[in-house]
Amino acid sequence: MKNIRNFCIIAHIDHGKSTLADRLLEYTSTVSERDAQAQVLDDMDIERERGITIKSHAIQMDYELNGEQYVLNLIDTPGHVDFSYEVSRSIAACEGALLIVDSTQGIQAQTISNLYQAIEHDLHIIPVMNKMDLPNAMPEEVEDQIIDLIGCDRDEIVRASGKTGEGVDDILEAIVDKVPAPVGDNKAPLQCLIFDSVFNSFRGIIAYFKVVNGEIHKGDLVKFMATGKEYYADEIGVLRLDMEPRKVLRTGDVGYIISGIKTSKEVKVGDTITQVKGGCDARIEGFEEVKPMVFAGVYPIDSDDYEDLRASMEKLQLNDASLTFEPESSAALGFGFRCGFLGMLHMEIIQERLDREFDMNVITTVPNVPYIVHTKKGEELEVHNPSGLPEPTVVDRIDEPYIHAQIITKSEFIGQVMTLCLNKRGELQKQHYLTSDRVELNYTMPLAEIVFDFYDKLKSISKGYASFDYYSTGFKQAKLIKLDILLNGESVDALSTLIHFDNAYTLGRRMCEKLQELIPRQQFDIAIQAAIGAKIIARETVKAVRKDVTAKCYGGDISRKRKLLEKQKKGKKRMKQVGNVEVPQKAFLAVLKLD
Amino acid sequence: MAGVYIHIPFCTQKCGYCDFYSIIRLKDKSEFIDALVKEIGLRAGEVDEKIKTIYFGGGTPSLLKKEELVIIFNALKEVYDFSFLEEITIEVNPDDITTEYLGDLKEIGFNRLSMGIQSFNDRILTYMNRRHGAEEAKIAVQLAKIAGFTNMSIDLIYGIPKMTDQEWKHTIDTAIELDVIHISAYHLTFEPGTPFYKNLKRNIVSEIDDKESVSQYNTLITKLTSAKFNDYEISNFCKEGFESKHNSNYWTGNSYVGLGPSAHSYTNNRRRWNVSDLKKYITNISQDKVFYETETLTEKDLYNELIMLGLRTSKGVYLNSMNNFSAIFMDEFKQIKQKNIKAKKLIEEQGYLKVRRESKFLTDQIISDFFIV
Ligand SMILES: Nc1nc2c(ncn2[C@@H]2O[C@H](COP(=O)(O)OP(=O)(O)O)[C@@H](O)[C@H]2O)c(=O)[nH]1
Ligand code: SF4
Ligand SMILES: [Mg+2]
Repeated sequence: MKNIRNFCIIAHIDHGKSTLADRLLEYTSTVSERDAQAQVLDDMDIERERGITIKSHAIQMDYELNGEQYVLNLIDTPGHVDFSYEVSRSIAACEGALLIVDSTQGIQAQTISNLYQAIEHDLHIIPVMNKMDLPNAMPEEVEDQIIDLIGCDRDEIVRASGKTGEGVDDILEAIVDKVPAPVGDNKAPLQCLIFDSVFNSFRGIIAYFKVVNGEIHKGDLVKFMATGKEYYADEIGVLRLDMEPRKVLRTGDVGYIISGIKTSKEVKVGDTITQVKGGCDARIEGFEEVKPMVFAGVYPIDSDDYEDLRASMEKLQLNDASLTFEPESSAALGFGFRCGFLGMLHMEIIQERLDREFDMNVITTVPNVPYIVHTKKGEELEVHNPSGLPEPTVVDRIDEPYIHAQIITKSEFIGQVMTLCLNKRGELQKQHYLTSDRVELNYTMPLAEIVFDFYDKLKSISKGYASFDYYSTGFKQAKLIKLDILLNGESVDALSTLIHFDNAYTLGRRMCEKLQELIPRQQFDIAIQAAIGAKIIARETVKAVRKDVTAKCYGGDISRKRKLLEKQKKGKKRMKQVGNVEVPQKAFLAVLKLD
Repeated sequence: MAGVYIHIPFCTQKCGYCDFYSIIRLKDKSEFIDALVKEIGLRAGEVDEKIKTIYFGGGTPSLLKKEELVIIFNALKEVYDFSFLEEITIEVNPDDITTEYLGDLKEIGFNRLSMGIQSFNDRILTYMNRRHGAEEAKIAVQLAKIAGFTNMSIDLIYGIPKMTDQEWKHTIDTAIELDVIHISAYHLTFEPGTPFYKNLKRNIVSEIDDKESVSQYNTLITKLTSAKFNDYEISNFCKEGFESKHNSNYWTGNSYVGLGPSAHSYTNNRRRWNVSDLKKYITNISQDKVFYETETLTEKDLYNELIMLGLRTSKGVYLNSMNNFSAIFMDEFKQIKQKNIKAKKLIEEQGYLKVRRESKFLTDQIISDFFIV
């Protein structure tokens, strides 16, 4: 155990986590240079394309220093706030962390919030300045930021480059020298911390864990404590480039278990695995049921595909336990599902996977956060859909989820960022200059405001320089009302939103304008109205098409004309008939695309 | 019986709305004619040699001199049997018209003219970058009639930004007064790549309102109908018996061979189009390289086209001709047909399905409703 080092990497997107990890694998000969395809750890297509890690991964390396053999376990954490709980469990499985900061960029918000978590878990932090090969590196300035943040000595900061390999040996040595070996009692009852799981179509769910206390043997009868379910450890092993089976894993080891589990719901990140016989009494601290924070309706464009959609969602859920869904029906869209996601990125990923892996063409409705409705009779209802809101007369009050947001920006953009946050109902908590031209802002804010285009706006007003992270802080009462959209006098449930009273008029007007842009002209006038209760607050009209004919069809160029009309028909087929109005897919997300 | 189309890819200046393939450099004219003559030979046997129509289009075919036209004609005679020819058309530009040239055309064998006039209003002609004036156009029509070209069509354009109703009425009235027997009237479209299109994208011009389009179309129909014209296709009007045989051939799904750059052909369920590039056309033909693309129509394509072409004509789609398609097509067809009849857009008459006059301006929509994609 004294020769094991478990560590993770904390870095902002694109600061070079994956690249440096690849170098570590190379320098420890875990992968030969020939095998090394870029970014070994991100193995989903979506991860590679978007350059972000979605699932946690782990990989074991052997390393020799001063004649001693060491086992280094790198636990790669997801790189997005949507998955911050998984991040926290991965951090909890480690004793040390590499803090990688791009020497041309400096510290970003996401780095900070993950770093705080690591410090909270008493991880030893090894600061690394990456991309030192670049001419625009600003090592002194970034060093100042790092020192200011973690209070280390200047000479503890490793200067490195994932590109040239500079500093990689120093990093490996620092991991051995500075990161403590895991503590724990090999003789104590078994306690394994699950930090992630993956689905394998041949082998079922594979759970990744760290042995915190005790030993686990192949064939043991084990129990997953949160679910109370028992399984045989059919196979256990360590994670090298591939899975390598072992007979036994001891305290401090990081590995995997395969036990015939079929659905991801049975394997909860943060749960504890123990022996059925002589197991431990208490779970490892910090377990939480992850709760979806963003809900949206997902409907098949073609209503005949409803059952196929269900089957696809079930398959997706097999390897993504954080996805929830329940049947729902909409007057406008027919039968579909109300899905719960961890956040907006998670929602996009699911939508993309439905399309790519299952070829399902779906309409996603405007996402919303969960609300807690207190009725006058004193009941509490959790509502996941604006149209599921009880009658206003029975509602006493509505609570919505709040977050604590951390934003780091160049000081020149502070004015715009503050205006944005103010418009998003944010309340400034703390303002702190990291350096003379970088400032950290802390806000409390309703989560719902983040769901609507906050991140894109932040990026654009700060020219991409601001970074942002958040964590949930619970529910608070809010003055919310339901904004309805009517097409030719008929309310379209799928377009309803719950919004703050103060924003209702502006949003109603902009929704109407946007829909007018998105709904193509049809054979009759289409009235688009925004309403609060019975009161119409905005109106636009899509004028009827009176002319739809191209005069020219001569010169024998008939194919081109035919193809044009075929395109017209295809576009129509992708629209959803709501009453007698054809509404294109993207109109259902109009509220997200305002401006 | 088949038709032959010949594309002459030259103009002396480009009109602002035009996306037909033509270039204003006339230097390569003789090389073009050589290549064209070679293509005529290469394409022998593609259709039944007893052809019914020949059509010289462009571009501006009237930029060709008599001798040049004769060379092409002789080449055609080598390949086709002219004894069944009924209609030989050439598109002409008003300011190329002289009594002498008209005589040449007659002598060569042309029996129909199609004159690109577009408007009888100088302001609008200038706006469209036409190279003739209104007066010149009128004279050209009169000269042509004197020369014996009774079978003559003129092209007009409406739906032009800032053209007043008055100006449009004047143009139609002038056409009627000139007593031509065929009028093609096209609503302006903004075609990608044209100067008009660029101005549209830069917001320098905007398309006219639908209501105005419809009203200009109605003016056209009303005036032409009272002047005894039949509207035999969406954009084509003629006195009894003077339908363009060549164009009708396109719409009824008959074969045609298109020669010259950018020309389209249709033979044996196969569409073919030559490169829209004179240089490539000339070089590839001279080096025996491929200079065209083809597409074989599937049942779905044929079905879509039959409806598209049929519904654009006033006669409509011949219902019996639909019976040749497979059951799935027929079922879909019947269903959409019923729906549109009920919606009063289509009407069934004497075995034909046609668009009602009130819905003519929505023809594309109705067609695409039928489409199977
Ligand atoms: N010049 C240079 N580029 C680097 C270095 N490390 C990473 N990169 C590049 O920075 C980008 C982001 O790196 P990546 O490892 O994917 O970052 P991650 O998002 O933190 O995993 C990629 O284009 C890398 O090639 C480095 O040390 N020097
Ligand atoms: S409209 Fe006729 S004359 Fe004008 S550019 Fe086009 S082809 Fe040439
Ligand atoms: Mg990465």
